[in-house]
Amino acid sequence: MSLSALIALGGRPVLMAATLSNRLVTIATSAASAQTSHRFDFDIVTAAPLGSIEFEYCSNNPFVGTPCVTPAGLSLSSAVLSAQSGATGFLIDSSSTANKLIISRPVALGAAGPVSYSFDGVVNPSSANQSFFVRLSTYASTDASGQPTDAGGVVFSTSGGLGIGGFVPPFLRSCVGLTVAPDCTAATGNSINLGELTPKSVQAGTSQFAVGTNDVQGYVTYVLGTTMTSGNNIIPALATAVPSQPGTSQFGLNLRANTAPIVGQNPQGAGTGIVQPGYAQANRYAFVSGDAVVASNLPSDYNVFTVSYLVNVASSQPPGVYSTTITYLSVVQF
Amino acid sequence: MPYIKTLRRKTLLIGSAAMLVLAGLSPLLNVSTASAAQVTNRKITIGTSKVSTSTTYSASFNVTQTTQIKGIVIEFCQDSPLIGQSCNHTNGVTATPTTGTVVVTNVGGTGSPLTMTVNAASSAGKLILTHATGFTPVTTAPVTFSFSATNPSTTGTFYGRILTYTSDTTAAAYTSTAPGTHLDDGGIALSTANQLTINARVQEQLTFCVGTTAVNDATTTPGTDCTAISGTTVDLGVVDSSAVYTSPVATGTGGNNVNGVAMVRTNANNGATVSYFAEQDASTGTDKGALKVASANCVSSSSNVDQCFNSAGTTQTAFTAGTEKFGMTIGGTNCGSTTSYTCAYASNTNNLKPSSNYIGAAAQAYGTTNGFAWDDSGTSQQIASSSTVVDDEALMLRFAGTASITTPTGSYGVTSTYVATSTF
Repeated sequence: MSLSALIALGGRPVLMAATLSNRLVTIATSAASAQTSHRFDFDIVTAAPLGSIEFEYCSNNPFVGTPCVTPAGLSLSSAVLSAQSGATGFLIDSSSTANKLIISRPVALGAAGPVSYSFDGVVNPSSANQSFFVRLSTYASTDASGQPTDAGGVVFSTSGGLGIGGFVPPFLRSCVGLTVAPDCTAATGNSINLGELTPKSVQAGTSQFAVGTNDVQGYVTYVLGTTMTSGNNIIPALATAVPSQPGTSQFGLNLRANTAPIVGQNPQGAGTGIVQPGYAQANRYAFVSGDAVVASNLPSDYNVFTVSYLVNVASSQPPGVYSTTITYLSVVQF
Repeated sequence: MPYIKTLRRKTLLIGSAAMLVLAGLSPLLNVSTASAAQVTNRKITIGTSKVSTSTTYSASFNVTQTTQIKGIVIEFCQDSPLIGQSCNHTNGVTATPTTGTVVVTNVGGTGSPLTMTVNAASSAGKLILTHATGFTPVTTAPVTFSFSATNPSTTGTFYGRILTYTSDTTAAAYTSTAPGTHLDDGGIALSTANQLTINARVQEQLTFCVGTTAVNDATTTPGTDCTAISGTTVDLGVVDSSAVYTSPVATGTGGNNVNGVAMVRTNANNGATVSYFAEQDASTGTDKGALKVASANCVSSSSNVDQCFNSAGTTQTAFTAGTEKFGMTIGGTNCGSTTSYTCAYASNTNNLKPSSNYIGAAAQAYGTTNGFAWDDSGTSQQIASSSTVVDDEALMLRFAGTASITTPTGSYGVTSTYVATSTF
């Protein structure tokens, strides 16, 4: 315990009080002008009759008994004593003022030791980045009159908030190849050789494409191109999804693992892309240029889609080298 | 006949004149003390001038004769230093020795130093030292000795009378008004005085500020003190899935090339703490204090498709590019503005120390390798503390974010509030 003694000079009041120890004020927010809570913790050092405790807010200094400048913007009018411990039984006294909270109870012996008082509804001073003081003093009287028994000052600081910002750009990435990496970091091959077309057996091959996007409305991937063509001769494309029929001229595709013929695999990856009807059924093939083959209505991580191509020819199919170029177009709308 | 009358008259006149002369001379002849010489360079030094206080009295004087000294008297009087005058002891010096011995020194004198006895005739305010054989002084060096006594009980001047004797018996018989035959004497003035009390008050102090700085180490000052700290926003720029974007983010990638900084100055002998909380926005979902598009509703703390960065949480974690995360750490405590004590983060001599889960790198290194944390619930989290005073130490607040490829496009932001609390 330390003893503070200020000897009167020139008529100023004499303050003889022990110093409260381990004293602090914790404010819930340091934002200027914010309505918040203030909690005061301190140790009463003098066991003595205790009837009131005063909390005086000042912007100039923490010294009890000296002139006090009320902090601008401070409001205690809505303050409520929301919690108390140690010495209890207090209520906010009507003698409280614009910058002074006085809590009062019937006089009882106040033991030395830790106490705590929380006030909700305190409006912080309006100046940011500034220090403010609260003068704490205990009294035997019930209205904070007379000489304080114990006293001490605490200080808190308002501060401005700190904003953190960032921008996430629109993102769409797709890739095509005979094989592609799951995140489009690699794509290999751009040509499929189906070999010799014969009415006696089907010919099939695969390619892959991958898509990822952060468009909140998702994406659509369209297939574009022509059927297998050799000069004026074509292998008819399948307008609807049908099974493979060797001996019947057919060109179609799907995005499934098939058994007839054994070709392709199901979609892979954590994305939300869904194979569209017409291309989503195993062992059934179709091709209509401009059809949507994959779509998602959500942002989507990468999916890898394996396209299975099927070609059958009739015995009447004119000879020639049949080819086509297929394009996969992924579209988003931000 | 007239001549004879005249002669008789003249004779009568002469006889009368002679008688008058004799009457005038008699007082001088009877005052034997008037023949003692004055001690020179005489002084008594007291240890304190505070009234009623026991202290050491140190006497020093030069004698004018080399006659053997067997007695020394010092008497303290409130009224007069004059030898042979009455002496007022009221409120005067007390507790002078009445028993024991005092060592008297006269460098060069025969028999010096001499342990003289405090004569039984001594009393309060009157010290009589005697010795059967004494010492033979030299005049070229002072006679010195010290003793304990209690100052007068009133402030003001008081006096000391010093006498030396060649006879210890005569010294022992000393009284104020009948000092007896002695060798040398002299008076000294001393004074007690009021004490001067100086009062000063050091008020409780806490200066705390939050801002931004281009400094990115623990040694370059971000500002001399809080008056030099400003700024309100740390911009991480364009955040995508290709990297972890850690402040200060260069302007080339859309950032504003600053860190956050929180500076503390306090004289609280029990130290201070610094805490933060994320301001909650007006959305109706969860994670209202996340780095998010304003008022966007967050689906969950793990969703990569809502307009809310997944917060790192209360436990520090390292980030991986492309795995959506946002957080903060303290790169180090900057001591660049500390002047009143040795402060260096690298050697752990800083007083303001980052708290667990907000220590940027191990082994007092400045950096972010330990990862980041962020509590978006609005609950106050302590990020630093001290156990003693702090002189403008600054916490370097490092923010980091990385998007997943599905993190929706948009401008994201969050406001954080910091609170410093000092315990006195």
